[in-house]
Amino acid sequence: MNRCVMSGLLALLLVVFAHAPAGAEASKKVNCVYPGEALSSALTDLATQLGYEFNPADYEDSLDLDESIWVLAKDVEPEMAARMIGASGGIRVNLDAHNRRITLADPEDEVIAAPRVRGFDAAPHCKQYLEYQNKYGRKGAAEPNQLYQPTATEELRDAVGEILRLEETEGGAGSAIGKRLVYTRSSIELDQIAELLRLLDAVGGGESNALSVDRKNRETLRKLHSTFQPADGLLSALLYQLFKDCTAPVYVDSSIMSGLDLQYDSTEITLHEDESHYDALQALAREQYWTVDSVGGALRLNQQDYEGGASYRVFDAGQLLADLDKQYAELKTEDDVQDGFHGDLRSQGGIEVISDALELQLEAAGHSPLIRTFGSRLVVVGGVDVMDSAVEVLLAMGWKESEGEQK
Amino acid sequence: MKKLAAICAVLALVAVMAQAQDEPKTVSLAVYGQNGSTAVSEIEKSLGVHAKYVDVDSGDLDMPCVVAAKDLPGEDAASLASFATGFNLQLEGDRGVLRVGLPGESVGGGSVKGYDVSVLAGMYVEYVNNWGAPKRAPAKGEEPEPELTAAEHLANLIEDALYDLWDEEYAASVVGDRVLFTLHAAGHRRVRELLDILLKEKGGESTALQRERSMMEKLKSTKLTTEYEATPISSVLAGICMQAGVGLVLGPNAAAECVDYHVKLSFEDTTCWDALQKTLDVLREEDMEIQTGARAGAFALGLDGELSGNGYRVFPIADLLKKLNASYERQRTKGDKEDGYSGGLREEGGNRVVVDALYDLLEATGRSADCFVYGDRLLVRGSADTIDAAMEILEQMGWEKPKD
Repeated sequence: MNRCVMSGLLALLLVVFAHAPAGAEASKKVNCVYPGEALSSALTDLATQLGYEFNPADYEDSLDLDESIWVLAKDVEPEMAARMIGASGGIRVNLDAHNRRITLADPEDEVIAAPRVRGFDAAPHCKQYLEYQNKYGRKGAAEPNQLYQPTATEELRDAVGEILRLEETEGGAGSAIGKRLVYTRSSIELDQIAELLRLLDAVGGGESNALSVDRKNRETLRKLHSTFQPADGLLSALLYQLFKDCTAPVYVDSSIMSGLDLQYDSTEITLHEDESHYDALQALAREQYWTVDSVGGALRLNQQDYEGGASYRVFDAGQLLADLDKQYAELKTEDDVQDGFHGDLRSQGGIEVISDALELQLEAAGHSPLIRTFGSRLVVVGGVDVMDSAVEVLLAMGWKESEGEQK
Repeated sequence: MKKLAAICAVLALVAVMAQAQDEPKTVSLAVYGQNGSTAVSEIEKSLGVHAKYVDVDSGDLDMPCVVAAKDLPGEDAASLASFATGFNLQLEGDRGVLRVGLPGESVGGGSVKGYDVSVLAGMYVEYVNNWGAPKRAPAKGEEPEPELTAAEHLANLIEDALYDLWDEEYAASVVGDRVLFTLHAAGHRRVRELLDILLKEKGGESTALQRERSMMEKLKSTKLTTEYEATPISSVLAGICMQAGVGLVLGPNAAAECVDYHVKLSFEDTTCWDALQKTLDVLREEDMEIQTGARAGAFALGLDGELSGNGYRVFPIADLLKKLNASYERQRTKGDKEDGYSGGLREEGGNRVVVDALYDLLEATGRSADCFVYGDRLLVRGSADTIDAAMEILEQMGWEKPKD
């Protein structure tokens, strides 16, 4: 009996030891302290941390490897580190676990991961869209030269494409068949499409997971305060001070790095104890014409608005439209008077009344928002600062955060 | 007993210190030809705020600047420095920030407010139903003008009436019977004030106009006896204003001309107002197109159209419209007679009858004013002198000043 127990324990220990290296490998975290580091040094360091070999292959003599990158992240998954380093260096970094090596590829090259096909039921979205059109859609015949008159499903496909900027990546815009949408894309992108379709159909709308992550990332910066005046107003010194104690991973996108001189570029922004690092980051972004959002879980300083991000919020404007319909009815004057008004919410543009006002007021607050409507749903694309301003503007219009809001 | 006295003394000291801390910080500006950054730095130092430059940098403020005023509240200091530098300065006291950007453009940091204008919109609808001109059929080939709601007409009025070359832009969005603006605190106060005055049965004057009247009163009631030898004319103007306890600010063009223009002038028991006019005559003799007025309670001097009066008065004209309607009715003739008249106030254009006549008559006296109508409310924007002239003209039309 005892022998049996001992044998069993021995077998268990053997199993545990046999799997221990693989388990340790899978959970291995890395640190990326590369604020202005040369790409080649950063990749060599990453390879050392992982016990891999860095194999630049065709890039051996490439000047790209001498370019500076800017990444600060502690205890992150190797894949995330590779993504940030690649995004900052303008190159794709592949972790080849099988051969234990790091290789490089052109970001424009097709991703090796096989795309998948997935169909989505658009029936509930179409129903909502038609209800909106029948109530508030513009009346009258279409413009004589208006060739494109999309069905509700096609309109949904176009909205999804614009919000997730699918046209910027491989895989096409998707196909609208009856009340279904079909996409052939990577599983990450298919999940993003599924998330958007779910939020467009949800009562009260809601915000995307990427926006929630962005909110958390910025929160860590809001907790940081310090007083700092970079010597000679050096931008690189300010950047390091801003993020050195930030627990969220941060990187500066290659769109900025390609034009940034870390040794000479300067800023007028300074840090004050009474202001958070987040306030200073916003001021810096404004000064340098940068945008801030979160991509793949990391804070990103970027030059091009929202490219590659999936940070947005869906607002349900159904109740606000109903309220506005009543208000426009009250603004009607008698017939046949100059300076009178004989229209209604339909003639004013339906939901465009809301989206136009939102766009103008967000621009007045210094934002360049991407706003897309679908029926009575309004989607604002951007980071947390844009979204918080959008909520303020909508509240000022009379919109109320509904109980069903998924925040 | 001694202990009690000591405790009382300590408590009194604490109370005095607490009171001193509660007192709002003020700014004194004394910039005579130095660059605009000097004024910005003084505001930063006095209020404990720091400047944030938006789409500009401190080097852009390198023009000579003239602004002299004592003990100004923060927003007044920012307003004077805006005019003096030609940049848009917005104070966010609660955040400890002074934003510096381009005039007429967003400097960020503003907040959005939606103003419920349902009551004013209702008044407008009532006016249009009562006195609105008959709808004009578009001429052949002419596109009909898009209709505006009462709230949209009001939004246009607010944008026009509060437009200021050196301030941030008042860009309204209209959603149903709400009008939205994204502005800083001072801008929102101006919008709120205008809406409140429009709602008042008796109309009224804006704070800016009241402050201009108060400034003129001080200048007219203070005497001056002094001599200036080879002194920059900007310093002469400042000396006169300071004598009356009034601030002075020059627009960027005016400052560029005045800081190096030396004059010899003497005043003997003259009012500060007359002394100012005598000094300004020197500039007029040089064929300079000067404008004078007030900004944030200070005497303001502009050149080449850089200054426009930003005070206004709202006149309620409902009774005048009724009178006019009655007088047009009395002038109706029978049937279809040659040289007869069969119209009425509606056909004559409703409130346009009043505003068109007022505009023409003000222009005939060499005054430029912005005249706007919103239903039975007439708004005249300009200097105190212009608004007084407008009131006289309206009285001649039959308008009666509302009784207090």
